Amino acid sequence: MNDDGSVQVELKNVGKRFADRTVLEDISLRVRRGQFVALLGPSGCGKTTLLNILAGLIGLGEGAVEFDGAPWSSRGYTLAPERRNVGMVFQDFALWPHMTVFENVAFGLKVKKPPDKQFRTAVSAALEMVRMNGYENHYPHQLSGGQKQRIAIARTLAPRPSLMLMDEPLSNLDSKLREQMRWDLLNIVQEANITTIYVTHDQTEALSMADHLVLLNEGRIEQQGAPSQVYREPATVFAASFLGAANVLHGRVTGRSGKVATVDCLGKKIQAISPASVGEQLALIIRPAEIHVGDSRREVEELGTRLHATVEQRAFQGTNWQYRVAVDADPERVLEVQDSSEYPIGESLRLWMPAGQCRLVTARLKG
Amino acid sequence: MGAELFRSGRFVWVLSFVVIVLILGGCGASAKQGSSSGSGQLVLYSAQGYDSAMAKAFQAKTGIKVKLVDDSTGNLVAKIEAERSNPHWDVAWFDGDSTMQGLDNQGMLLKNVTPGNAKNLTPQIKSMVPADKSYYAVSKTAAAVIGYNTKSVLASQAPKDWTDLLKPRFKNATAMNDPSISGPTYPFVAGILQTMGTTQGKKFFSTLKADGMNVFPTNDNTIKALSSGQVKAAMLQDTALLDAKHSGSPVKLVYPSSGVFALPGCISIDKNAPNKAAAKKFIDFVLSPEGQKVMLNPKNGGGDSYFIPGIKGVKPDPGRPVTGIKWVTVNAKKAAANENQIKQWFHANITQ
Amino acid sequence: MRTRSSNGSMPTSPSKERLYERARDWVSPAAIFVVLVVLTIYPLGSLLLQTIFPHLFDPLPSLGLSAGPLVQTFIDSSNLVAVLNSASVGLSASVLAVILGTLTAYGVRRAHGRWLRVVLSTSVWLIFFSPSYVLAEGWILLMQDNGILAQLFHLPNGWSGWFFTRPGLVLVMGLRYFPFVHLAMVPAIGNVGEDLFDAGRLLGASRGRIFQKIALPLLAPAWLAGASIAFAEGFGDFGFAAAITPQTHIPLLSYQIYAALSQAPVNYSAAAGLSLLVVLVTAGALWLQLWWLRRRGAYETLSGRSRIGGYATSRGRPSPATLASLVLAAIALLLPLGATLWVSLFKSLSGGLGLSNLTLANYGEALVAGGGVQPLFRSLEYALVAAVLTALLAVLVGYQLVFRGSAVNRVLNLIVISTIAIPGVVMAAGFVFAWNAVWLIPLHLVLYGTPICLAMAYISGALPYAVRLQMGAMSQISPNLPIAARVLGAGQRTVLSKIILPLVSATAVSIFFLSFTNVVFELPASSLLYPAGSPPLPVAIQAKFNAFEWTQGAALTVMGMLVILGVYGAGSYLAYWIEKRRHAALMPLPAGGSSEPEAVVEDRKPSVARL
Repeated sequence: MNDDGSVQVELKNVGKRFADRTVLEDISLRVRRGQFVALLGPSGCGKTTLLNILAGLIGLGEGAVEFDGAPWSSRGYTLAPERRNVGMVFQDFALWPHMTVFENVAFGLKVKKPPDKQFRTAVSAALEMVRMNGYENHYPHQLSGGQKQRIAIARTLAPRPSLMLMDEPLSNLDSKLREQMRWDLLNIVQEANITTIYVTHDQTEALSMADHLVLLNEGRIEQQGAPSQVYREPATVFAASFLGAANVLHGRVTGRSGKVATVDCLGKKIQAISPASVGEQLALIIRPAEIHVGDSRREVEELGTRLHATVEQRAFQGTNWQYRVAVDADPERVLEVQDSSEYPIGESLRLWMPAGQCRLVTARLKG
Repeated sequence: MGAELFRSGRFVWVLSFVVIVLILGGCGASAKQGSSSGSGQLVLYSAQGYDSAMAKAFQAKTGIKVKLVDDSTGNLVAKIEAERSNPHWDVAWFDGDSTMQGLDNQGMLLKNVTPGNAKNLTPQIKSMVPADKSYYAVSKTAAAVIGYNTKSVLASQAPKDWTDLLKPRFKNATAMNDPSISGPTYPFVAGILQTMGTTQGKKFFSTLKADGMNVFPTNDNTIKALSSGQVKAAMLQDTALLDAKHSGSPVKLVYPSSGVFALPGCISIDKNAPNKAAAKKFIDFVLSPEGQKVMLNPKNGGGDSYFIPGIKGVKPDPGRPVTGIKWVTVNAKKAAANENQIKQWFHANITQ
Repeated sequence: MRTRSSNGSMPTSPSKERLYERARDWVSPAAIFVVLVVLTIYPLGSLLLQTIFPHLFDPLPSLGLSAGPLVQTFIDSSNLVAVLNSASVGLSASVLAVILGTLTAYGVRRAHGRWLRVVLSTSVWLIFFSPSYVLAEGWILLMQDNGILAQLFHLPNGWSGWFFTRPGLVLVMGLRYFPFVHLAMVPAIGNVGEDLFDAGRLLGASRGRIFQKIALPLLAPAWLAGASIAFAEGFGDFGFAAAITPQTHIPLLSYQIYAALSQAPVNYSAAAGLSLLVVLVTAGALWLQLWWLRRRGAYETLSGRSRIGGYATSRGRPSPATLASLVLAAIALLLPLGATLWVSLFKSLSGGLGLSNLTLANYGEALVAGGGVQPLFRSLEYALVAAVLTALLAVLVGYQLVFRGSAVNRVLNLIVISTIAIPGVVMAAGFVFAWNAVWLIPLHLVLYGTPICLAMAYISGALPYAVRLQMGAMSQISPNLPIAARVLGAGQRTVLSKIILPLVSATAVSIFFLSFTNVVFELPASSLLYPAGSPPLPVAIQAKFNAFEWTQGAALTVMGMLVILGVYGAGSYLAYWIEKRRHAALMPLPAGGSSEPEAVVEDRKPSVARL
């Protein structure tokens, strides 16, 4: 409907300090109409503060927030939350326990100026959207966790906000329900076609739901982009490890031939496609699933490095086996690899690390 | 459920409405009272039990409306002092000439008041009126006498004088009030120090304390301890003991042979009282036989009515002993001057 | 990039909005500040200023500066001893109150069946409501040599010597103040949920460890809310200490203050200096407490998702906690109150305990001949006005302090609450100075001597408790509940009336009754501030006591308490009736939403934990 791809929310160099602590620093971000943006980061990274700034609940210290080009927040100015027409979904659902489901959902419509006269139909529509018709007269304490979160979402949707903010909405649900709700939530948001900013510390949620992923660390944007891109091409050790298991090896670039750099680590010279120059001390990142086991054909087809290792631990994960292997050339190092075949503990494996999957990033160890 | 109560938003409105009506009602009432101020009204601060009856009697006789603030002497004085920059009272009336002298020392009282009925005063009472005539003594009680519980003390073993309380049979069984808190107790302590001499007087109290004397804050607690038999004997104002006796408590009074200390009821006028004429009329009424008779009726004043009248020709209540009492006058000016010093000594050595 | 939206509904310029937005942010804090100035800060300041300007309120006011009274206050070693004594008594009393209040809170939670719960809760409330002097008096009648217990059990003189010393004083205070803890604990236990304790137990943790690692951090806010009031009360106590320990006088700070007030001339600068000491110590204790809470992050732990620790429903033997609570309530309430009731029926105080000494005549005499009816009605009017306003103010101030935190708030909080420990008579004197000041004459604002001034003093006296209790309740509401409403477009006023007020209404109702009772029996402010000629009930009662008409005084006291009970009953019934009607209109609800008439008794605030 509104999906014309134009920038709807723009954050310009936003910064925030609490007392003597910097919580956010130089955050710049553009959110397009209809986009689903995930703010991902560990606790304390400032993502909730950023959400509160977007909602207008707190002011910012530096920079500016604009919505459709109009100012929302700038230094010393904060448009009050009730004048922003945003919706917010909370981790603890924040349903008002003294109101029925109907009253909860109708609240936003009734306090609107002027009040929405068709609020009954709007409430029904919102409840329909989250498939909770028939629960109008229930009180929150009579609902299950998943139902509560649906109602909380319906409450947010009912006044048709122009921006939806979600603060870890699924983290209070158990894992099975969480997976189901992930699908449902995506469905609801897509159906409603509302620009959404979603805060989470769970990389699965962020990767699976977002159109655009913003990785926050210690108040700064570590990396942003499409989830698949950020996953595949992490720019930092932190980005690599926070988005899922990754083997991180440290070493110095000792040689270069064409696109391929050679890194000294694991007692080997490992090839990686990278523009890094000789002499740099870098981190080499490769995800467990990207290391191939026993596949000699690849060694002919592509550039890479061969390693020999011994299985130390293994875990069955359904589709794949997960192995922790000790590298023969450097037995202190343990790598994590995945493979569909089963190998017993103590088995010697032949590993292949494709140069195209080995990424070199600066060795900053933060995160 | 309280939640439901507030949810029907109307409830809050109804409550607010009620509150507003009540406030307006209160203001209206006070405005009405305020409008009647001027020549026709008198604000009386009094600690006397019969003040309410006197206010009514005076109002009936003169048509001047009396607005009464009745409280303990301590509270009244605290109130008068707190108001000192903008006083609200016209007439103050309570027991204790040293306390009234304290107000006079601060220049708060109208001087040279000469009510016509001052001629009625008995000689001893007249001697308690200060030279600047800033207040009048109008009645007399004993600041303290000995009261004993007849259930726990045989009449033959009853104390005769203050020092009898030092006998072993009263060990852990005596009580008095704290002069730092209770109004009439300070004149008693000052009187003991005056008659026994400072050293002997202090030794008297210290010995009592060493023998386990209770020091209660006020008459109220001491009388109860005595009536209930918690203590056998107590030293306190005779009117309080007479009241207990006449209302059926097993209490008898002893007026110690070495003498009791006269505690006059004192009345004064605010220096800036808007209606000094009405205030003088009130003092005249207090000094009239008619007024004293109202004061002397125990139905009006309870224990406070058992006083010795301040004017000639009026008899005290039959329930009050008159004869066989050796009265000692405490020097009010001296007592006022030493007050804080003596109270501090008492607090450090006896109360603690 | 687009620089400006063509959509006209959005604000186009921050500068136009800026002033309005900023002003609006300041309106409610400013309004609350003004109220606090009028009710607390100005009167307290008028008093405390006299420590450095002793002649500020002389007939010829002067700003003559003198450090004398202040220096005197701080160098007098007996004041230091008094502070230490008061602090130790206050601390012991608050520890005892925490233990007893926790016990009874569990007792109520564990009680089987509604009746037991109603009886227990009502008893705790009655203790809460009872005027202190009634309780003190009751204990003395009970415990003294030849007292009721001695007569009943033929105990020798001196059997209760221990009671009339410091331990007895602390015991009486603990039994007086534990309802503060109880009332904070009942909802807290409900919110925390016992599964958290079960979890600890399953992990093999010892009871001590569970207490230290789970119970302490989770229940700390509730404990501290109650304990801080108990401490401040104990710290500023005068009546109990004077009544219970006449023989082994414990030099307390409040005593020093009373002594300063009974000097001639009254030494208000000394009283003010000592009061300043009271404020400093109480504020210090509160500050420590807040610091501790912040350090532990204790408030956050209450936003979890633990199951509601509901009331026990199964039949069976009452739990030990319930039995102990019943015994405790009986001791704390029935004994002293019974003593007052009994005295009100005596023909003569010393006539013995027999039936022949009983009569109802005191009531008739006190009310009709003694003129007690008018003061009773007057006090009811004051109580109603003051209690409604206090309950509303507490919600407003609590909301400001809890949900709109700022550094100024912390100072306001300390000011409001540290006034708890200031003896009522000192605060009342502050009102005289403040609202009778000469600079108010040209403004026609001399409120002293009017009913308004007295009502203001009543509210000022009840507000610290009210705010403390309300903050305790509000700190357990998830901050997201008001935020959710704000984001949906509700202004602060709507959030307050539609979200916060309903959630804390049970506490507000409690505060209403607390303030109501406070006013009906409040003596110091009543006696110093009542309009001449219109005494309220406490003054009338005190006049009876001053005239040694204890039986009539007791009768008036009992009448006052009966009236409070009546108002309480009517309020409970009203609440019950409203909810019943409401539920009839709704579909029938399964268990959990059922109506119980004791809801006013219990703080059954639904909260996050129920989500």
